[in-house]
This record gives sequence, C-alpha cells and structure tokens, in this order.
Amino acid sequence: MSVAAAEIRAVDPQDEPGADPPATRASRLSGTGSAGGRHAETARLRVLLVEDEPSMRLLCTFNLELGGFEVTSVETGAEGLARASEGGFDLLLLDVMLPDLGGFEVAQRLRESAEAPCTPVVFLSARGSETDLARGRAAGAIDYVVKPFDPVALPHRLRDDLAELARSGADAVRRRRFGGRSGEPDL
Amino acid sequence: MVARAGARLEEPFTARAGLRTDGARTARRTVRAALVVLIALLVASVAAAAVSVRRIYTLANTRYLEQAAPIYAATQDVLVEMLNQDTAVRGYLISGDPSTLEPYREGRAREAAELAQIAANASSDPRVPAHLAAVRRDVAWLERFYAHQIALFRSGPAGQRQARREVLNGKARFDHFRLLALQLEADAGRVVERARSAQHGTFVNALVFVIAIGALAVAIALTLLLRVPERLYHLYRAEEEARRGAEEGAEAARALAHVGEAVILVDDSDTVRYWNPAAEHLLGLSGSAVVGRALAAATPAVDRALEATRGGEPAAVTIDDRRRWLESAESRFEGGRVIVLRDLTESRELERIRADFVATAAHELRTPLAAIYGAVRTLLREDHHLPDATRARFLAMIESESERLRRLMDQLLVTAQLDGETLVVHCETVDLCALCRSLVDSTGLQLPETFDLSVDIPTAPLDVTADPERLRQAIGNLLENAIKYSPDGGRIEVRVGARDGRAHVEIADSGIGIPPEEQERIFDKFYRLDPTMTRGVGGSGLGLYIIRQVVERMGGEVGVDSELGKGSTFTIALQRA
Repeated sequence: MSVAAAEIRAVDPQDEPGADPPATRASRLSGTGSAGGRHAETARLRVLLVEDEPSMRLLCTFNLELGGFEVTSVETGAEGLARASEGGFDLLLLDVMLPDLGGFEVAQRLRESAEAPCTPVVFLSARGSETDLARGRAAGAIDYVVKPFDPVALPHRLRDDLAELARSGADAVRRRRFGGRSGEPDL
Repeated sequence: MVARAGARLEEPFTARAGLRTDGARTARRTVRAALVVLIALLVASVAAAAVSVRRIYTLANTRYLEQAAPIYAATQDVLVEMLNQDTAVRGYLISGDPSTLEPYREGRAREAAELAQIAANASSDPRVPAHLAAVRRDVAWLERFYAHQIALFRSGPAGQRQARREVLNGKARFDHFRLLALQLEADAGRVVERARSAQHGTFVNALVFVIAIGALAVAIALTLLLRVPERLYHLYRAEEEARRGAEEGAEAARALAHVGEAVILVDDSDTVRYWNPAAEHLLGLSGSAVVGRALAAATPAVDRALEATRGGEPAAVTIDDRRRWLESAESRFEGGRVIVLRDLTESRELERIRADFVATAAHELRTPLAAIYGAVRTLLREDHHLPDATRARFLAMIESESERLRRLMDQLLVTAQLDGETLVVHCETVDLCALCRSLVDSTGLQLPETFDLSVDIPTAPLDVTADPERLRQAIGNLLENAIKYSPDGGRIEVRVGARDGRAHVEIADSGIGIPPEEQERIFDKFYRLDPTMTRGVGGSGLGLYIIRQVVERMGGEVGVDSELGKGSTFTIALQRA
C-alpha cells in the first residue's frame, strides 16, 4: 500500500480497512445501493489497484476508499500479479501501461493460472483506441475506464459493474461496457 | 510516360542508327565520285592542253621546216641555178671563153638535186606536183636549149651566128620557167598559210575543249560547293540529333537505374527486356539472370504482385519469404508493356511509427491531464469535507502535473520541429565554463540532502560554438536525469574540460546505471529505460532524444558511458569557438 494512501486514510480513519468485518462477496455487494462511503461500512469491497503513476494512484485510492472500497495499491505488474495470485480481492483495477508487465499481460496470466480464483478485472488506461478496448475485452476485463475519467464517479461505476456481474454475469457487463462502444477514434 | 521512356530505350539504338550509317555512306560515295570526276576532268584538261600544244608545235615544224621551207628554198635555188646557167651560156656565146661556162656546169649538177627535193615535198600541196612537172619540163627544155647553143657555138662561126640568133628563143621559155618557179614558191607560201590555219584550228579546238572541260569541272565544283556543305550540315544535324537521342536514352536508363520503383520492361512475347536495379533489389533477381527470359518463368512474384494490386490498392505480397507492401502500375505500348512496382513497406512502417508516435504522445498528454482532472473533481466533491492538508496535496498535484504537461508540450513541439527540420538553432560563441557554473549553482540550491555535488569547472573561459539557451536546457536536463535516476541520492559530478580539440561537459551520477544493450536506445524517441528499475521515475521519453538531436545540430555529440548499478556518465562534446 502506498505511502500516499496510508496518509489519506490517517486523515479519514473511518475508511480504515481493518474495520471491515469478514464477509462474503455477496453480502458486501448487498450494500451497493448506498452511494456514500460511510454507508458502505458493512459492504467493503476489496480492490487491488495496479498503477505506476503516483498521482493517479493517490486519486483512485482516495476516492475509492471514500466510496467504501478497501484499496490495496501496487506500482508494478509483477507486484500486482503476486498480490492478485494470493487472492482475497473482489476486483482488480489494472493500469494498461505498466513499466514491467502490461495490464493486459497481468490479466492474461491470472486467467491462465489455475489455482487463482477468477477475480473480475477492470482496466484503467490513457490508451483508449478501438484496438486497445478490443484487447482489454479479449484479456477478460468486464470494464475499461479511459483516462481522463472522473475519479469521484469511479466507485459507483465499479459497484455497478460488480452488481451486474453478480446479477447477470460477465458477458452482460461486457456488453454494456464494450458493446457498441467506440472508445475513441483509432489513430 | 513510362511507356514512352521504355519505347525510347528500344528504338534509338537500332533503326535510327542504321539510317544514320546509310546516309553517311551515300554521302561519302557521292562526294568521293564527284571528286574523282573533278580530278579526271582536270587531268583531261591538262592532257588536252599538252596535246594541243604539241600538235601546234608539230604542225609548225612539219609544214614550215619539212615541207614549205624545202620547196621554197629548192625553188629559189633552181631559179638561181637556171639564172646562172642562162647567164653563163649567154656569157659564153658573147665571150667564147669556156671558163664562163663554169656556173652552167655547176648549175646543171645541182638543179637535179634541188628538183628532187621539191619532188620529195610534192605531197604538201596538191598543186605542187603539176607545177613541178611543168618546171621539170621547162628545165629539161632549157637544158637541152643551152646544150644545143653551146654545141652550135663550138661548131664554128656559122653555128656561133645561129646560136646568137636563137638566144631569144630561150628567153621566152626562161620567162615561162620563171613564172612556174614563182608558182611553186606560191605553193610553198600556201603550205605555210595552210599550216597557219591548221594551227589556228588546233588552237581553237584545244581552247574549246579546255573551256568545256573547265566549265564541266567548275560545274561539278559548284555542285559540290552547293551540296556538300549543306549535306554535311544535315549529316551533322542528324548526328547531333542521334547523339542527343542516345544521350536521352542513356539518361533515361540512368534515371531508371536510380528510381526507387522496380521498373520492368516486357515485350509482347512476355520476354523481359529491361529490369532495373530496384527490381533486382525488390525481387532478389539480377537483371542478367532475368533479361531475355520469359517473365513468368523467371519469377512468378511479379504476376502475383500485379494480381494482388490490380484494383490500384496497395497489397501485401510475400517475396522470398519477406512480406512486402506493394503498389503496381502497368503501361502498355506498341510492342510491350512497362510494369512498375513500388515498395511501400518502408513508408507503411514509417506511417505506423508516426501513428505510434501520435498515440504515444496522446497517451503521454492524457496521463497528466487525467491527474489534473481527477484532482479537480476530487477537490470539488461536495459529499466529503477535505482537510486542508489533503486539499493542499491535490493542489500541489495539479501544479506539478500542469508543469509536467507544459514540459511535455514543449518537448513535443521541439520533437515536431526536429522531425520537420524546422528547429532553429542560433549558434554563437558561448563560455561553457560560465554556463555550467550558473547551472550548477541553481541546481545545487534544489538538490536534496542525499546528494553530494562535485564540480570541476576551470576558472578560465572555454569558448564553444552553441545555441546558449538550448545548450543550457540540454545540460540542465542531464543534471535532472542524474538526480532522477539516482533514487538513493549519491554523488553527482559536473566536469568541464577540453581534449582532442573539442570542449566536453560530463555529468556523472552514481545512480541505477543503464544496461549495455539499452545505452544507444535511450536516445530514441519515446524510449524509456525499463522503469521497473527506475522505481517509478516518470518521463516523456523525449528528453535524451531532444538533447542528442539539438546538440548534433550545434555540431556536437552526446554520448553515454554507464555500468548497471554503478551509475552513468553523459558527455556533451562541442566544437570550440
């Protein structure tokens, strides 16, 4: 977990991840109706954020934690792969352009490793061409967030994704997020 | 256009060359014949003149010396002899002195010879024989008369009296003889006259002949004069034109040898006639191996390429296991066709690199923009009160990311200027020592405590040729890199000096270093050292690219010497002013 995230949590102790009682994903998801971070106490979702840019890491962590997520952030693909393999996350938020292993490759490797439970993946990237989106979808992501994005709205979006995933399955989410979506014009 | 060039290659070297040779041969034959005729005429003219002169000389010689003169002289002699005889006989008749008869006897002895000489030349005039015969008759009569007189005189006084009486008989006959002799003389004169007239005739004939030959020669010479220079001019023009044509053909061939497109000339029987070096390169077959062979047999790749690109759109064709993007054009002309294949592989690759550049640039711009936007959105949250420290943190983020965005834009602009060769570098004489000192002073102030800055800059000025502002940015960037890539701090050295006639600035750090295989690539556009080891050091990937490009445009060089884990030394070498 980054120093920045820790600092922000110190300022806002209610979001301390330790306060979250162990619960199943389903029970945590039941609290998705509430938008406010404070109401998400009973439904803390665990997110692994893999992002190399310190500013982006700070923004995501801060807003996700306010949105009721428990955020673990790492800087490199290799670290992300290691932490994700350990399991225990409800969602992986992967930056595509990572210094070592790209986000697509991290997702790919996780899918290929048999023992790891298939944690839903959402990509986060400044690259948003049709090709990039198609690659993201092919890598098994349920959603693809193109930078710049509104970090305040990010927790809602991820909650929606997870709720729909639980309700209708990954393909339904993908259809909504990728289907007919043009991203940005191919260069 | 291609078809014309192709036809031009074929045609000038065969038909036109043949025409040119034939024309030259005809002209040579004509001029040679005319000159031979001219020389023959001159020889004939000289010969005719010589013959005429000789003829005139011979005529004069013959008529004067051989015919007229002997007749004339002999006639005179006969006349004189007869006169002497007559005088001698008369003297004898008067004096009775036998010694007076001496001329008579001499005359008798000579006259026969004289008459014989006239007879020998009697053929020179038709009238001579008749006149001669008459003279002979008179001479014979007179001789008989003289003999008779002498005999009478010797016979005694009666005979002497009778002889004296008969003297006058001889006078009439002698007058007759004299008349005849004069006629003979006139005959000789006529011979001379005829010789003169023959001479005149020969002269006139010779003159006419020589004039005629001369006129003919002049006519031929005039013809040559009028026709040969004109002919030569036309021949020269034709030659000149042919030479130009051949040169154009050679130039067309040279141009075709240097065009980037593969150009193949194929005749109607599908035999390859020309295969330029670009075709050799593209299709991997040398011209000598292909020219003269059927195209399809030599290589099926051309037909495949034509088939694939028939719609005019570029297509990928595999040639010798290499995938090539090709575009084709085919021009038909009478006798064959020209096939042009353009290899677009490289330009497509450049296009891809350019697109990558734009995509990467957009990504690089989006990243700070996303941070700024995200920070602003977070600061504007109404559902959560942000403590002042957190607000300050997000504001600082906006500030630093804006600065990052500004620098990135500047770098992109400089990169675009470098790519378009529009970057202006104002070189002037710069004191490298002073520039580095001022840079080190400002860097030193911002340097974290974990760093130890060591400076080795001479006090004396070291003048170099450089753009001071761009050089300051370049050295400043290298100093920033030294700090950025030394996450644990350490020693940073700045050394300025001169060696090998150039001035050098070295910026050495004890940071993470660069693996040997990466040391050249770090100067590539958008290349970033594997950031796993940089522990999250950010950057556009344009800094070193710009430094090297800009320094090279000042006539300098940028190099790096590094050992992984030990640190890096970047060197800028500049021309001394």
